[in-house]
Amino acid sequence: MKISGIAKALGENKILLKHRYDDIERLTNKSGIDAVFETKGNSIDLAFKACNKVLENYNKQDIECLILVTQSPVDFLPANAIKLSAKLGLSKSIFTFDLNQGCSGFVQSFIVANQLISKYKKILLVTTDCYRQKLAFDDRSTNAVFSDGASAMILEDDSDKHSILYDSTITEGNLRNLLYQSCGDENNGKLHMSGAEIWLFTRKVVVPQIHEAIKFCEANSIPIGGIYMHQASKLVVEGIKKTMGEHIPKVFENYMDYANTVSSTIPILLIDKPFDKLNGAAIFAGFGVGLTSTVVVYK
Amino acid sequence: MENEILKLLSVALGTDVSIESTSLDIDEWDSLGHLSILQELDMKYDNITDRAPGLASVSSVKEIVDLVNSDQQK
Repeated sequence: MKISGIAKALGENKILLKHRYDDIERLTNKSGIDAVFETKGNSIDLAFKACNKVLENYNKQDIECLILVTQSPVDFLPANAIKLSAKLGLSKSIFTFDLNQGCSGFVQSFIVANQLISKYKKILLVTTDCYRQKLAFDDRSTNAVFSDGASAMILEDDSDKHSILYDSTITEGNLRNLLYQSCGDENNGKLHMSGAEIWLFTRKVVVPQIHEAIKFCEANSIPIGGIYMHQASKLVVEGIKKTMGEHIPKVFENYMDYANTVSSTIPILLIDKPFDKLNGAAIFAGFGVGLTSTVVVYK
Repeated sequence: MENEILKLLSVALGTDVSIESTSLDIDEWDSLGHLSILQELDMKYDNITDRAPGLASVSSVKEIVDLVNSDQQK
């Protein structure tokens, strides 16, 4: 399964955090994020923009499957992928569904797509989230981290020239309360994030998972071109790198440019640091809401 | 030890703290502030959060001092 095209769309309003909050320098220094992107539209609007960009070079009628990853649904039903498919004018014989996952959503949907690609030869994989609508204004930590963004990726069957060689997923539903938005009144319906405890999860769970992926590559003589990990914030990315130690493959970073776009951080990283220019396999590591963590080796 | 920890917390949060301080009293002690506390503690006390994961859910300076003291006495 090859990645043959990717595009992104960000919220149309770029907000410099120092213009919105007094005395926020301490937070921006730690998060590594000076500005966030916010949309007045919704997740489907952002997804539509990203899809239109990537579909410029393809015949829409050739898309056989659409997977939409989002935790910012516009409708409870039908699936938001169906709405997007119609808006894009995709084929009526398309197979389409939503995947409700957050920061690990891209990697999980990539695994799903890899399983489907032998049947559906051209898959449109879309990630889109508008978390800023979920944030309480006085919650400076979350406001200083999350951006609204979307990505659209075309995946094509290439007879196993490219595929997922290894995957690992951890799901710890008992840690749900560390990062959630309730359908009810819990936390006034706003997003709650316990950053410190999530960070411990990344150290205890995500780091060993990435180490296992590296070991797999070493055991099978697979050179690693780089690691694409979820761009949560500077504190998290640097914390993981530090915990992993000195002798690790190149870790790509762009949290400082777009902030945390939830499910779209890794696809946007793939635009900035293209996989096809790597000399070796890529490790994708998505982690967060759930709590969940999924790591794959893709070559 | 207590003074050492208070100094460390002041650096992590960018504001003065006392042994009576709690997360409710200190604006800077939010989600990212707490993360910053953990990273400073890890640097100072050799990855103490691996041995004392309770540090991620404390909400007062006193609790932090107690957990660090307990760890360092082992």
